[in-house]
Amino acid sequence: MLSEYQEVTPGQTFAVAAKLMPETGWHTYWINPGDSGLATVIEWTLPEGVEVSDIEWPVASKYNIGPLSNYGFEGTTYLISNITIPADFAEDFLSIQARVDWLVCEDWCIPGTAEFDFEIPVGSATLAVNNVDSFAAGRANLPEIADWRGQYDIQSRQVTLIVDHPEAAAMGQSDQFYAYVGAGELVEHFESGDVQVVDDLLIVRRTLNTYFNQAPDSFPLLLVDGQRAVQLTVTASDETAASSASGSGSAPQSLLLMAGFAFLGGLILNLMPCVFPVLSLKALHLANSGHRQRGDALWYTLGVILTFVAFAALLLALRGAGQALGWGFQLQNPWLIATLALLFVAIGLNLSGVFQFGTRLMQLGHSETAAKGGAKGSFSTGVLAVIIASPCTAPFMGAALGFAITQSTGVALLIFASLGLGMASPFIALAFIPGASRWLPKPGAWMETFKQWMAIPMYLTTVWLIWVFGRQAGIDSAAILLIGLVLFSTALWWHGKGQLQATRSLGHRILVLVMLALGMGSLPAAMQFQQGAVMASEYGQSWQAWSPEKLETLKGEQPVFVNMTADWCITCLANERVALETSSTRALFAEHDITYLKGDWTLRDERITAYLEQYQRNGVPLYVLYWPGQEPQILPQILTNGIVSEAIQRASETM
Amino acid sequence: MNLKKLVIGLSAALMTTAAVANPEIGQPAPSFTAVDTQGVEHSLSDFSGSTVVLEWTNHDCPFVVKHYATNNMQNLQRELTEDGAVWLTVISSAPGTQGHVSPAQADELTANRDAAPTAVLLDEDGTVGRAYSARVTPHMYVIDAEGILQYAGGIDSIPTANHDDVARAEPWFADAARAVMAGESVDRPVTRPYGCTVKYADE
Repeated sequence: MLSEYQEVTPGQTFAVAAKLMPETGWHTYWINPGDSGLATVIEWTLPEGVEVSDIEWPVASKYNIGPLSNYGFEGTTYLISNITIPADFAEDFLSIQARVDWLVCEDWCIPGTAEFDFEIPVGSATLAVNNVDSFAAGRANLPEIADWRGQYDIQSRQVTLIVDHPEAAAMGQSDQFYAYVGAGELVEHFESGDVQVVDDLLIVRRTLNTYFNQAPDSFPLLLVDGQRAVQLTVTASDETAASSASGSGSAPQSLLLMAGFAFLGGLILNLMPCVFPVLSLKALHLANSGHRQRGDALWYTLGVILTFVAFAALLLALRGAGQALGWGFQLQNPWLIATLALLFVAIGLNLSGVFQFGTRLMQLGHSETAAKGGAKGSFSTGVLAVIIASPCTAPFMGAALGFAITQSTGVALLIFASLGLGMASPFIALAFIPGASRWLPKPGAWMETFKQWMAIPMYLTTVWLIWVFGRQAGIDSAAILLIGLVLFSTALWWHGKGQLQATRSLGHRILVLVMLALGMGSLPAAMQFQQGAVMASEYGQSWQAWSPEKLETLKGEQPVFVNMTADWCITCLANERVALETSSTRALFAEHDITYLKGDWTLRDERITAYLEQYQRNGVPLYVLYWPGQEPQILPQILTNGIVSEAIQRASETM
Repeated sequence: MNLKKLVIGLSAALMTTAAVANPEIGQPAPSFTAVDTQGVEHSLSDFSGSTVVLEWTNHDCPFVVKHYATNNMQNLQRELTEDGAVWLTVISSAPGTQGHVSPAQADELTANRDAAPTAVLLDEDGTVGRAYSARVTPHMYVIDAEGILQYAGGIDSIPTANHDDVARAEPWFADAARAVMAGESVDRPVTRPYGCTVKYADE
């Protein structure tokens, strides 16, 4: 046992090393010893507050013994640990006790144990000159530590590891490459497995260990290619991790947060220039209605909420109809993203005051609002308030709509109900808290300014949507979408200018329509470009979003390949990169005119769940090949180019 | 391209053979025939109707020594065979390697250590060991009366050669064997086998 310092100081972190010197041909073991053997263990007894790190494992070697393999170290080996002394350490000596247990094997194995008990004076930090060479030698054998992103999962007794980094990919090209898995009983150690490099991805597939019994959350992975040795941490890719990371799903906290934002949005609605007068009138009416006011406020609230929920129901019905036509309303759908980008630009421009929504409707409603009393009167006032205020609320409604369309039915309804509750909340406050009317701000020019400020978040949302779109469709498509947004904005601006004039010329209207058409027309153009880009790129494979209806229509007429996948499924990703998005498979699909349908189960689409059940599966990946007039062929969960081409060949020859 | 295909094909083939060679819990245990120290031939099928325990051993392996010096192994052999189980100790060390013994030496070891297996099987060509993918000594297996493999793995939970750890460890193998004898399901049917590498003959 060696210390790097002969005198240490409080607050310092210094290295100590256990020096193992097996005879030639004998080895000690790595953190994962392999099929047999035992990793060296150091048990420390240290003064309170003094902490010690895990062993920094040197670069391991692989020893094959018959059909079995071990990982370990031959020759002199330094196992370095770092000790940290607290800043307030008051003793004169740091006493260190360590018990080292090791196993050293050639063909034979001899367990060894040693106990060390030593003291280091505490004073000013002084290097132990005699040990400098030993620590230099020890550190020279350590792997580089990298923060490359590594993930793994287990499917049908195969472990798939993916490291997403160009340098990892470069290492994987080497003949001498080997991936040392730092978890016991996870992979079979003897075989090297199947190593593939696709772009910046290093994909290693290994057989699951016969004695596998528990999947570790994370483990060290040591990559060695004869030149470099790099260690990184690989984490389990499971659904729970993926869904909590993305913050979506139906976690109660995020649901509450969404409802909270919707409530806040509803509250802000009251400050819109065309809503506030209504609010004032209604507030006055409430103040005059004496003891009935609470009932009135509640009926009004009910009216507002039900109207919002009705909006949501209409939206969901439309969405249902759209889905039946095969439109996907997930953020994975670039069409939806592009449409939302147009919508949010329009909302932003409206808030900025560039153009107005149906001003005539607003004037029409004013006189109707505040007059009626009684339960029925208050309820219908609530309904009317929402409808009449719609020219002003439309921007917010649009934002809520844009968000809710990507959510499940329950969440969408909750969002709209919260929006309504938020809008009605001042009335509840006025009715139930005496003197609350004093808190109401005075209407004025500030409201217009406030409205214009609200445009900023809308523009930012647009930026985010374009970014998402760009990631899906590429920079070229994003540029076309941006051109479309400019044309669209021009049309709205020109339309807004017209609104200020008493009469508008026919030419003016035509120009607006042409601009609008061009703006909208950019969507399919951007999409077209995306297809071109995908076809041209090296690994891209053009696919369409899966829906049961689409599959039903297509499968009778032509061959269809269905791929059910999810973002958190590492096996799926590996399969796509290794076997599906390859030039040979792409050529094969083109040759046989196979339509490639992809279903995304990242957010647990229920229709996909039902589809999986049809094939007695409760998870992804699932690959099915349909050929007209034949039974569907289910492909294995681990794909290679060969497996895919054989399946296609089999089907086409049976024709 | 063709070379790549070939490599993928080969590795797929290798994976398949590996998968076939590995015994699976809940599946019929691989059948075998081997000769014991008395020259008597035993087949797994001879013992249908009884629980069968397979113990891989190498008397010079420190991990095996740990369980014989503490009498842990002998006690388990007595307990289970008295309850009607068949205990087969298997030696897969190739001639000239650690743990390889003649029939007479094997009997002597049994007598000296006061061991109580039903029989000691000599598997110097490693056929039985490879069929069960036995990796270490001691490596333990439990097969139920119907010939279904119910346990494969280590003898207990602490993978050291320290004799004191026998008493501290959770007896995973013993728990499994007792559960199988009682007709109950095994809580941990697969555990980490720890010990010395089985010294197989080259294939």
